[in-house]
Amino acid sequence: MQDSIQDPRRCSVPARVTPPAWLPYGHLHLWRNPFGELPWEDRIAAAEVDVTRWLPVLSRPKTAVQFMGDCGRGKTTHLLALLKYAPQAAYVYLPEAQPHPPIPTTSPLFVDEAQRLGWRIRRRVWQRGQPLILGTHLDLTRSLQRFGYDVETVTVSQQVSEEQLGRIFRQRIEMAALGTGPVPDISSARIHSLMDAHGTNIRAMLETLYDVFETLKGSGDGKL
Amino acid sequence: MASCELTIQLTEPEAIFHGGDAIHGHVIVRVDKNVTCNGLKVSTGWETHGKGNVDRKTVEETVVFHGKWSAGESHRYDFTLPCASWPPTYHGHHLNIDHFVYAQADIPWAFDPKTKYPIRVVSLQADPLDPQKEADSTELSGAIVSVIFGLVALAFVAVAAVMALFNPFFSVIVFGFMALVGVWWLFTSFLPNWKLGSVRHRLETDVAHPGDSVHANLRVHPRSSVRINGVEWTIKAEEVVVRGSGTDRKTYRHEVASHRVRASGPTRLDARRDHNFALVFPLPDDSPYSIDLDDNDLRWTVKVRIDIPNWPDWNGEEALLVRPRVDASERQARRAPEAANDSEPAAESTRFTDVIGLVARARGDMDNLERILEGVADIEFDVQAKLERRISVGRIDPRIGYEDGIVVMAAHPDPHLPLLLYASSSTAAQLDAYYGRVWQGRGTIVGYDRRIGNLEIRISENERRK
Repeated sequence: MQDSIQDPRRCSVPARVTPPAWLPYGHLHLWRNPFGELPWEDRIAAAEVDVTRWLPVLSRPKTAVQFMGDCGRGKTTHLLALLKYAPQAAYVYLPEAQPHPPIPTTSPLFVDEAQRLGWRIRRRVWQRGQPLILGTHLDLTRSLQRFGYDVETVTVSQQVSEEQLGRIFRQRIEMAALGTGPVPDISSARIHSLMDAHGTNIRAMLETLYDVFETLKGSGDGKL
Repeated sequence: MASCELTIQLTEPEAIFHGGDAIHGHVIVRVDKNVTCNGLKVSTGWETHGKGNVDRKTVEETVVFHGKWSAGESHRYDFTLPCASWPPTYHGHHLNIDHFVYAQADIPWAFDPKTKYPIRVVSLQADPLDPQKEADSTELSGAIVSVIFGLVALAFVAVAAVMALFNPFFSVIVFGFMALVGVWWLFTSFLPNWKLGSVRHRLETDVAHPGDSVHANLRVHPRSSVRINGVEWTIKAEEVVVRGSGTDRKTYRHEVASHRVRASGPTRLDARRDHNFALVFPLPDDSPYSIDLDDNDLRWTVKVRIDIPNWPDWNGEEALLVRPRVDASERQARRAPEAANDSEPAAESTRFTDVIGLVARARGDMDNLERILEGVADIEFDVQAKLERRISVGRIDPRIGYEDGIVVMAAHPDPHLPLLLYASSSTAAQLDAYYGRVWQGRGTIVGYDRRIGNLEIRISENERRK
């Protein structure tokens, strides 16, 4: 198929189309389960946390903010929320059992799982003095301070509120919407029960909601 | 507020598309603010969704507009793009695969408006991965893994032994771990094999199609007589998806189908002779296909269990590939209309008679005739031909006929078209009974002899006789 540049044809806007009947969640005006895994760019868009107070860090040398917490509490979500304000930044994820990617010299620098930095590379990166936004399981304050960094530590598990969870869940539902009609909402009672069951573990809440939405599906397993 | 809103409309929104089909539609742009668009891109592709990491692929894309839009305007841009051949649309539990038409407008210094429209795609052909190559590579990689595992285990034992000399507590931990591994190996491998002697499990169907039968065989050759409670096969399909990576990596499994077949009840296996247990299992027509993406798989396995009383059971497992059955007539129906002349009416039937009609009309136009022959190459037809006589043509080109075979002058009855049939020596005897009469069998079109104006057909070996 050749690229083609067409002359526009003016026309009236059509009415909203009805959802395809064969989509499992079409009757809910959704094209998929809202609480499944998201592609990278949607994770950034869905990062529904207020990070405005840390925006100055993005442009201040020798300044670091480290987000600490257990898995599923939102460390990566906070990094991605800040990344939206710094499209020129470099984002590096350090895997556990695989070779690490090279650490760019771009400023600011986002490092997820920063506790996995080997001491040589860590020393080299800290020496550069670029603004750092870190996701980590270990407190790197002393190491950073030795290289002259001002460090702010944020424990993300203390950041979750009912209102924030409601925004996160609604954002996810909106991202799965077909745009053909009203979509389901998550009630306050449901959010409360999720907080009772899972505390601050947002990932566990998302998995529970995934299973709930699976029960609302319209068509059967494996069938087109 | 977004600068514009995009909507996709398809010519056939409810159609089920087959791999490679053209998708026709248009993108409607409603403009809210004066804006410059650096490119309105329309593309087709597929993506997974569910519990696993997202796998996706773009099939083809095109830019349908770039320029300025004014507030309050609405515009429509047509497109035609192909859909993917693989994987098929699939809606499961942890794994879902959907195909889309995507539209996105590149607006500088602003959020790019975008939209997508889901389409259903049925695959006529499978992933191009060769199942035999996949099996070979699996065996090779299995052997490499075994060697590496053995070397690592040896190194581990050596290091552990040295460290144990310096730290007895460490030796307790290490040897405790080794003991656990040893016990596991004892119960799952050594003891069952010791009891049963030689056991060989073989899946005879490497690649199955929905509706086909799956064949497997289990052979046991015990050193001494042994009683068993039974042999049971399990044919299972399972979604296996992976979320995250590293320490955050988690695998989710969901059983899509499970069929148990009992091959034997309680019996005694006599010593020093082969005991065979066969599996013949018809896969349901709606069985999902095997899917192998990066983090999203649908896997079929055939497991067999020998239930040994008061003893660890013997278990074997092999992977089964379930692929689409590529229907030759379906494939021809999609290729022959493309090969025909534009002024000719599109061929609606996939029968041999229709192809004969196309060839007969195209004989004066060699370019068109060649396109038709290309379109029907390798397709096996039910051939009808009135046999006239054997002819001698000297050495037969093995790419067309059979070197030790025969050539028969014939003609298709209606529409009339002279034919040359190439048959093997084993088929020649069958044809002898049909000279002067209409013969029916199976064959493929292999060319057109311009000198004498005959369509050349290679008769299939073991063709049926009518």
